[in-house]
Amino acid sequence: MIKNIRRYGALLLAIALFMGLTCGVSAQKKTTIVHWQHHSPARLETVKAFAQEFMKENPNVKIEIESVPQDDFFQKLLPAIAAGSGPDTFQIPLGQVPAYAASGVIQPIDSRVATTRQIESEFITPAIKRMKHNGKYYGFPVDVQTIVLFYNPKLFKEAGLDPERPPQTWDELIKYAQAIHKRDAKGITTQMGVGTGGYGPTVITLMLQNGAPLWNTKTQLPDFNSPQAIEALKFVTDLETTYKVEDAQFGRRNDMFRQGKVGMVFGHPAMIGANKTTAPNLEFRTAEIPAPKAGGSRATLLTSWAYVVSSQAESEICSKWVAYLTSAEAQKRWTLTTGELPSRKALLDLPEYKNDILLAPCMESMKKSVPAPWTARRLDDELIRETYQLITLKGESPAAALKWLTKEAVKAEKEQQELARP
Amino acid sequence: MSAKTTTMRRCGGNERKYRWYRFQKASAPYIFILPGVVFYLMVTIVPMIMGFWMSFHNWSIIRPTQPWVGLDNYRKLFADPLFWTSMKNTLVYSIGVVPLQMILALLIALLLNTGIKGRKFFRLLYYLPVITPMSIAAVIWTWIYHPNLGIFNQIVRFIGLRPQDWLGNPDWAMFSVILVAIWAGIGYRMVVYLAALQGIPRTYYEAAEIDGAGRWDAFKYITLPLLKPTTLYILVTSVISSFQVFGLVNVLTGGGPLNSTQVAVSYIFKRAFGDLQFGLAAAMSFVLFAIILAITLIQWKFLGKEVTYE
Repeated sequence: MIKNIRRYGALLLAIALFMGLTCGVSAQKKTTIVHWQHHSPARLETVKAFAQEFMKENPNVKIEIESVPQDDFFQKLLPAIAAGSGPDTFQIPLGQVPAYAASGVIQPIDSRVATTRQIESEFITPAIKRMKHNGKYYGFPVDVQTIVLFYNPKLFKEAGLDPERPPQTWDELIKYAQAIHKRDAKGITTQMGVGTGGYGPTVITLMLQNGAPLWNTKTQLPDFNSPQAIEALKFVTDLETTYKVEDAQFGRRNDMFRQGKVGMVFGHPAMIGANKTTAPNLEFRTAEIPAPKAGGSRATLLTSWAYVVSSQAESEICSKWVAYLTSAEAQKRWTLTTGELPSRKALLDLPEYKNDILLAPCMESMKKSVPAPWTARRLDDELIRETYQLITLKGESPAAALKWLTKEAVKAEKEQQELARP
Repeated sequence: MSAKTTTMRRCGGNERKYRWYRFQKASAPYIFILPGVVFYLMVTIVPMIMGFWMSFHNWSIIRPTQPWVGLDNYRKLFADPLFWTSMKNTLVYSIGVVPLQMILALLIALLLNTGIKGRKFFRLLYYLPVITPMSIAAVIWTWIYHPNLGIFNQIVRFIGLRPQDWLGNPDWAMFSVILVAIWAGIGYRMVVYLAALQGIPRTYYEAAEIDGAGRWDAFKYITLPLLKPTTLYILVTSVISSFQVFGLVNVLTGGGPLNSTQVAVSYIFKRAFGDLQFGLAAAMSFVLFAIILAITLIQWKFLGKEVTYE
């Protein structure tokens, strides 16, 4: 009898222990979010800090971050997605959101986390416009950038220019650059007036300012064959070919600017952080890019990436995580640590930004920003830069170069639109 | 007594045991090479077959369905001028790199095969670029070529010439890439040549010397003919690797400016991972494969028959 009681007792104890263990396991079961993004030391540190805080607030969530060098990012991301072993949350360029959404690779932001109306009321339109697919938003904006003018006040003073008054028009920019530019006896540049590098977003920005349409609404394809685009391209290439205030042989414009040898440089606000880190002794300022004519448009191209959620990931928690990464608090920290601009309406007019000598012009530029209408990544920089080089290196006319660009752009865009077709 | 009888006796006359023993003996070599074969199949043959299959589809890596397009991708690439530009650039690169690399490697190997002082140091010095990761070497070279601060232009200025934008000027970019490739590849070829040189018996040279042959004659009639198998090996592998160049170009110029250094593999990579045209990129890979195969067969046909390995 006692033996039986012992036996049943042991059995009950074993069952109780087993139940307890399994309950414990299920209570401790964590959702793991695998998050991929392209690498920069400052970005990685910031995301790691966000992940720690998010995990603290959500104890059942574990976030694994993988920071992939930008050059290898798609080489790693695409095969992983195809093999079904991709990350739960990751970033892609803004223009590619429609293709990924149409392919079913990513899922819309969970409405329990943010509704369409909420997203539209909280973010500026240019930053989210391209993320909408079939009436739903497929991501949150990150790495938002415009184009601003960086300048060196010390070189301004040396050239007899007022550092408190950066150039306001294209003509003024040329005059300022001519005053700064220096050459030695052999004609070799020793100090450069201005640097654009023929960088795609800068050239597009100048075209936008000049009122170039860039997009054929009838065909829904890029079109650069307009007098405004020709004029803008002529202006930017003339800096190198006619006025000789930009010299490709002087070296990379941003490197040389950090060495205090370039007066003005067009660039993304993220350069603020990069300049401070790599050239802590450099004194520099930012300004909105000069308009074609006095009182003219100061529109700028908005470039951005999107944090998206894989279609195979757990919808609510992953949406919550990407929303957390782009919350108002998070965006403030992004701006502080990496120079990324906030895309939330409420943040653009914060006194701390308005009174910041470097950030104020960047925030103003955000208000005037326009997203690119195309999806082809080659149009973001590669094809525009080639167009610029056709003029500066091969002596083509701006009109002929833009004709070539339109042909190539249409080809590239058609390919990408075909990919976005379900 | 036959081998079978001996083995049967070892197996205690049991026919089943004997058959099992025979099976083990016959299958052992295959089992030993199995892991290698499986690995090779997995990482080379299967992807090749899949790539070939891919080339007949409008394949996008992010789309769930991949429509069959037959020979469309091949038609597209034949009509793509940039593909042919990249093939032309590859050929220019190959012609620029391979002969110079081989000649310089042979000259250095000949020099290091003599009793020159510090030859161990020089061997190490020439081999150093081979063990330097190409991405790091390419970054260093971008600084050497820097138009304003680079050593290259400092030298050019010193000798009174006008500095150039070595990587940013389409007229100079390919030359600059070729120079780095030669620097990077000499060491390996030099070591192969050196090993071959050391395998030539001294007696041949002694006999030639007795017969009154000079140094040039010894080189021409002994060294060069006996190096033929090595030369053929280096030539074939160098041509193949020059047609597959990617990393160096990618880091130094990214194919620019104006596609002046766009080589076949960098263009294939761009079309696949930049434009998501994987089907087209696969078709390009197979055209490149066919071209490399044809060149290799031609090399074997014209140079291989003269080579003996005795």
